[in-house]
Amino acid sequence: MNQKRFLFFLFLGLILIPFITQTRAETVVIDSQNQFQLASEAMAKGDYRQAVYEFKRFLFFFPSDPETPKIHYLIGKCYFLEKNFEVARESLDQTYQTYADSAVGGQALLLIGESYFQQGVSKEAIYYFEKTVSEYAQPEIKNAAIYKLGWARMQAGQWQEASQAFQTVASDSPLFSSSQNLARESLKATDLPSKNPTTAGVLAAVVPGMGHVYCNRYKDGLVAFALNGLFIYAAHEAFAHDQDALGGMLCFLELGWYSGNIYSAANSAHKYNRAVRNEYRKNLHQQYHINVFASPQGPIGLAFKIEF
Amino acid sequence: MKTVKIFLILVLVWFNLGTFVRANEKDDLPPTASGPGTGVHQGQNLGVRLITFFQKNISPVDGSRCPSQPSCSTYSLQAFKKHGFIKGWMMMVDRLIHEGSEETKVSPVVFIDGQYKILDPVENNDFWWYP
Repeated sequence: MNQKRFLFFLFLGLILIPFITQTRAETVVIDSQNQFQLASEAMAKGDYRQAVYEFKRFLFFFPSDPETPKIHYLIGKCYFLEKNFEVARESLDQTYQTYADSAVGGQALLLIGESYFQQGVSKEAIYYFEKTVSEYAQPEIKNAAIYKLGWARMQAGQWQEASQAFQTVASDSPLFSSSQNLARESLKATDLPSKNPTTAGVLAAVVPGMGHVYCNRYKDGLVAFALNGLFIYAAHEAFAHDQDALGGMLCFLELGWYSGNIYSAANSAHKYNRAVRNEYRKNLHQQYHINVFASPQGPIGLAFKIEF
Repeated sequence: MKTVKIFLILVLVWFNLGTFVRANEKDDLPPTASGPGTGVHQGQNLGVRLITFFQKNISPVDGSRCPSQPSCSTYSLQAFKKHGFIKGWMMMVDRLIHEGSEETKVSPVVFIDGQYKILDPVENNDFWWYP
């Protein structure tokens, strides 16, 4: 009996030993530095969603860590880099509200402005860049905000104001040289060729299609002239043959074509001016591009790209 | 004289047509942070009804030949909804006049559904309303 019991327990032990060895897990201790590194690597690889998760995990496990303000900013920056601008702004705004007295608050405000700039909402971009300039005296933040303000003013077509902004960048800033060039180049933008929308509209009103020709859109001018001409001729013929109802209907439709032709001419002038300015800004961007948000973490880093 | 009277009546009708046929429309909102021209004119005006009829009954038979994105009927529908009947009509006529190769000089070209199309939404044609 004892022998049978011994054999039973021996058999049981032989079966259980592999399980015991397998369940003995390796213990890993992750400190704040490791967690930050993990999140930063995800961000550097462009996996912004994963980076946000890891940064939030950092905040959960290390809420009192000194790097917490920077982490909040980086979460917002991840959304920004993902071009999820609305969510980025919400996150960055919270960061600004929480850390308004520190440099991180200034960085957050600057990045909010940049998000509007990238979306082409110049008015809001200008507001946030000006706010950053007025609230933060740290040279790195202030000069970056002034520099971006210049670009936002150029985007809004405010070339004189852009030049003035660029001229106020401090001489000891890495942005100074580029700013001086941009201050000079932005003034030249006032001499760019342009078409007057009012002139285009008046010409279109006098002779349908002439407004488009003024804007160098000859095919569109021909279409506008032909359409209006046909309807006017048809209406005239209808009235000449005492077909007043038909003539009335044709006149009604012609009013639509005529007013649309005037609107189209003015719109063409605005689009022409926009295309010329955009091309000019694109050339300036290629010549003097400085990304003030180059550094993925820490203080604002600067990256130069000047093409010769 | 009779012709002149008919013409003047039609002009008055034209410029008031937006009021007569407008229903449930709100005033244009100022530009928001998400971009200019996001006002709401979501009423079912005559223009919306006409274009909807065209899209449901004529377009499926006629087929799509528009070189622009969105198509002219969709663009017109959006213009009528956003800006009301009168302005929407003018924008529709503007789109019909300018949808050609010359538009590629001032608007981007995108590759959609295996075709190159001129990207020309409503916002591309009313951006200057909101400086």
